[in-house]
Amino acid sequence: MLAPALAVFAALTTFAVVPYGATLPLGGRSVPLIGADVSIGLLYIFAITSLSVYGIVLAGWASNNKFSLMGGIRSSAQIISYELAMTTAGAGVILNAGSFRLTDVITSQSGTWLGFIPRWNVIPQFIGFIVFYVAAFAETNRTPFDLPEADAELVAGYHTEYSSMKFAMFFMAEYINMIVASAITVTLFFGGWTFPGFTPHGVIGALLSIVIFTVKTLFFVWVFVWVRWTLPRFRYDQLMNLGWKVLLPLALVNLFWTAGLIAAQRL
Amino acid sequence: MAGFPIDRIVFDLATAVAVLFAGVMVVHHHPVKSVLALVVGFFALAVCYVMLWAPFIAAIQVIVYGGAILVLFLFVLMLLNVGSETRSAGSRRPVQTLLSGAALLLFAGLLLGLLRHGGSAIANGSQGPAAAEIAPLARLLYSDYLLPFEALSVLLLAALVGAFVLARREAGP
Repeated sequence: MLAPALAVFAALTTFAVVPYGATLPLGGRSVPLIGADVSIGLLYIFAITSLSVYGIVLAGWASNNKFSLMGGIRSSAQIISYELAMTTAGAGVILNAGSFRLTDVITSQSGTWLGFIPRWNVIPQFIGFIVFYVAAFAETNRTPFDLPEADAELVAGYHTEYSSMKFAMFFMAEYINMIVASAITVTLFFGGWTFPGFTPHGVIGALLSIVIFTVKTLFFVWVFVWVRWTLPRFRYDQLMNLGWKVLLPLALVNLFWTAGLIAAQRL
Repeated sequence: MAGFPIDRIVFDLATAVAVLFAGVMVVHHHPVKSVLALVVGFFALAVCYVMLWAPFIAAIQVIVYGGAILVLFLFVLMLLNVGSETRSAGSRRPVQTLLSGAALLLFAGLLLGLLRHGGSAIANGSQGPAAAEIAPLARLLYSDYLLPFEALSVLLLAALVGAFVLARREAGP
């Protein structure tokens, strides 16, 4: 009972620090469209997502079933491996913004280069974006990385022994995680609710910014589903090789590249 | 903290939970449950850090200890499928009794010291939201405390290499 609740809790609380729109003027007050604008925004996200593994591991262990246990063990190894790459890719964005606060990350991406290219982080840090998004797939256990539940080998992995609402909670957690991972990708690499040539004015502007944020997020959710039906599942050794020998070095390259760009701008 | 001291109550609750689950961790017979108790204790400790206006330390606490190290512990315990430990009654060596007595004395001394300067930890910690920013901390870490910081990283690297050497298989013929 604890395991599905933990899974949903970790998935839901992550969204608290993601800004989903510009400031909304409402009856003489301005309401910032964000749950809590904390100074450690991105670190908070990484902290909570690192807790999400407990839901899966506990479910695998508490089921007292060898398939479930295998799923839980796979999940713990997978999430630890990919968290490193994800955090390092996120560090590039932090370097550029100079702050962990997600509203600052978005402000650093507003405006354009040469009048029409949006100043989104994805353009100078394309490698970082790819690494972050692939690691996000692994963290949410979506298909090329769904080894914890691999139906072909493990029946259903960690949720084999769960049914009805508890099973539904695992699935809610997975889909909420998809949406939250897309929202974080949009915030870090695609300018959040900003759009070139759009400056929010009044209530309509704030609502439009929510629409922009939602459309961008839904695009990445769509990519999640698209990839699921396109790619086959990785083998376990391939998964570990990709995480440690490809994604982590690439994330470091991105970090150094970003640091070099910032140093070059200050010359 | 005028009026209803809600943050003081939350802090005290979190410390109580941390101490309680640390005790559970030590006493419990089943290693997996011990690790889970430790997770709860670490999370309560993170709450304490937040209440002391140190959210950065709290986040690092959850990421490093809660999210990485203890998951690794769980991974190893589950991989080895360790059951409940068996304890032999009696046959305690005098060294053990002596050591536990010394630990108890140390704990009592610390407790007395804390009680005498009651609540000073919180008083020093509540510097308000200004202390919650990360940039001043980073500046300190990379200027005044650069040498200890780098020495620690070298130490960690040495530990890493040592672990690798210990775990390496002997080369075949």
